[in-house]
Amino acid sequence: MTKQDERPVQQEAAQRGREILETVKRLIRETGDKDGPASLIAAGKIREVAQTYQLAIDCYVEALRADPKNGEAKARLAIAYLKSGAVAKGLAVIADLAEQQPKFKFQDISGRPASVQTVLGDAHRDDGNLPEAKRAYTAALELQPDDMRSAVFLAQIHADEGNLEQAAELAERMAGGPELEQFRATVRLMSTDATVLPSLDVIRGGPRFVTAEC
Amino acid sequence: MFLDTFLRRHRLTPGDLAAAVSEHLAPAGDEACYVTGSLVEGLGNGRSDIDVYLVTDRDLSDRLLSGKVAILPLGNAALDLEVLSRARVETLLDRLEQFPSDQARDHRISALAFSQPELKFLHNLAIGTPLVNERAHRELVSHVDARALARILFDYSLAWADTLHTDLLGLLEDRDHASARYLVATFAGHVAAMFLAATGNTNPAEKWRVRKLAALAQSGADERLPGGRDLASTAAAFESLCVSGEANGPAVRTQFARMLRLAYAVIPWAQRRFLSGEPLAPKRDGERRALPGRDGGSAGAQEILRPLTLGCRIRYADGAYTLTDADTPIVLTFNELAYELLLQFDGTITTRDAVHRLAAITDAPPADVAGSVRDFQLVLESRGLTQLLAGGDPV
Repeated sequence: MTKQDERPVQQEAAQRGREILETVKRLIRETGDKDGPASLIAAGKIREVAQTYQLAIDCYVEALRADPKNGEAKARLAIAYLKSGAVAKGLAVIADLAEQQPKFKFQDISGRPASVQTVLGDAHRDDGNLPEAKRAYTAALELQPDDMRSAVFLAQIHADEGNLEQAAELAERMAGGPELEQFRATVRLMSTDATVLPSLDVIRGGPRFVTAEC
Repeated sequence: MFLDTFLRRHRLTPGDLAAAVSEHLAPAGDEACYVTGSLVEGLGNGRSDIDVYLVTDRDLSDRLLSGKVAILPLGNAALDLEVLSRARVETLLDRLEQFPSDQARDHRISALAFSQPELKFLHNLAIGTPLVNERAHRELVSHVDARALARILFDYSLAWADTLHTDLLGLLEDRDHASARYLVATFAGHVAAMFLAATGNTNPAEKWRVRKLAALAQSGADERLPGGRDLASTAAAFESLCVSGEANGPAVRTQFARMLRLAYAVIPWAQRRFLSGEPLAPKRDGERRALPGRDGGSAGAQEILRPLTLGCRIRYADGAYTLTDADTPIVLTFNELAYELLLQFDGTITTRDAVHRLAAITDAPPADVAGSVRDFQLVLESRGLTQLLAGGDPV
């Protein structure tokens, strides 16, 4: 690869870096401007960005101690558990929230739409329970059709199961973005004429499409 | 050197050899007694021993060292006589029959099923020339399935290559480059052994690998492997990889990556060859539509396809190819054209060349092939299965 070829990679990284910087600046302001649970939730998000998940969990637990019904604190606690690899704990926390507030919506760290069903889908997916993950992502999209994360993962589950038409239909509904192109490439390779073109039959496990953090 | 040349050089005759064996072991009429080893295979030299085996039910332990062998002088050469019980040989041949060459199986099972001396014995039996009792020898040899034996050698080296691959990734992580450099050479030896097994070699001895590769390289065998390289130049490539570089990170990674690329071409090709019952003897080119060789054109402004990460493995089974990665639980399953395309991801081939080469083996329009190349690029990169190029030197 020439130096020139490397530019897009560097530009993409720089752009992502600027987004992270802006997000963290906003969160720092929120830790100072807001009181009680909101301040603790902002602090927890900063800990998540720093990938110090145990410290994030401490912030969210503290927020829930102050306000036990705070949906965002509970959703973020589940997310932090999932990110730290504690799938069973994350699933238990988010299943509890889904039972109490099945239509709870919030914004992810970058400000994109998410809901309790999005996180429930993630937890079931990490737990290997794809039928339940599919059910949760479908519910998430009914709550918020612009929930890109749920759309990408639901489409991917459909593709992995060989339901390429449903996967392609979901892909068409998605807005642009790198994850969409990656997904479309996968669907094209899985549905191409395998007698004359390189084709993919199955993709299992491994890292999912490159998606923004929840 | 063959046996007749050896005997002439040592002023001996085949009769001298037969007489020495008869005098010491007196083979009975129904006993297989044969000369074998490097001199029969044409790999010997002036210092080689003459290897003779006798398969018998008699107890000859009073004439043998450790109840098994005798080493006798024959002129100024050495005659190694080895005696095996008929029951033991029959058991060994029965075990070999349980591992047909086209059987889909966990390669680790067959890798552990035979010891190296047993494999050497089976090979020596298969290539042996009877000294006396030709019929008894022929009867035994008829039970040696050379193809099954080659498959076992392949399985054995595949098991080792898998283990060494994991070990190498660990050593590179630990920055133990001196150990990694040493293991890359061992890994290369096993990939070479798999390549030789897939072309019909049944000799398990490491010491003859280079000689066998050289013979194949000089054979002019032009059957093409996946990726476009022919058999002769693949054999030659192993020879050039035997020279180890510096014991530093970039040098060892480069060597390892080059050997992995050979493994990506050799292992699935060999697996398919065995499982589909294809003949192991090199075929003439033109029997199948093969990827053309590289045109060596400059990259220009074209994007170069990034090489696969060092943790990647490609295998063939059940009519499909799979790519796995040591660092993630990902499994990609794909068709043969996709396999050919994946072999282009080596850090030197441009997207344009990849499209051009693939278009030569498919009836699809080049524009569709180009689309597939772009899509595979995107899928591999987004799944973390390719690595960035380090400086100007692809690894």
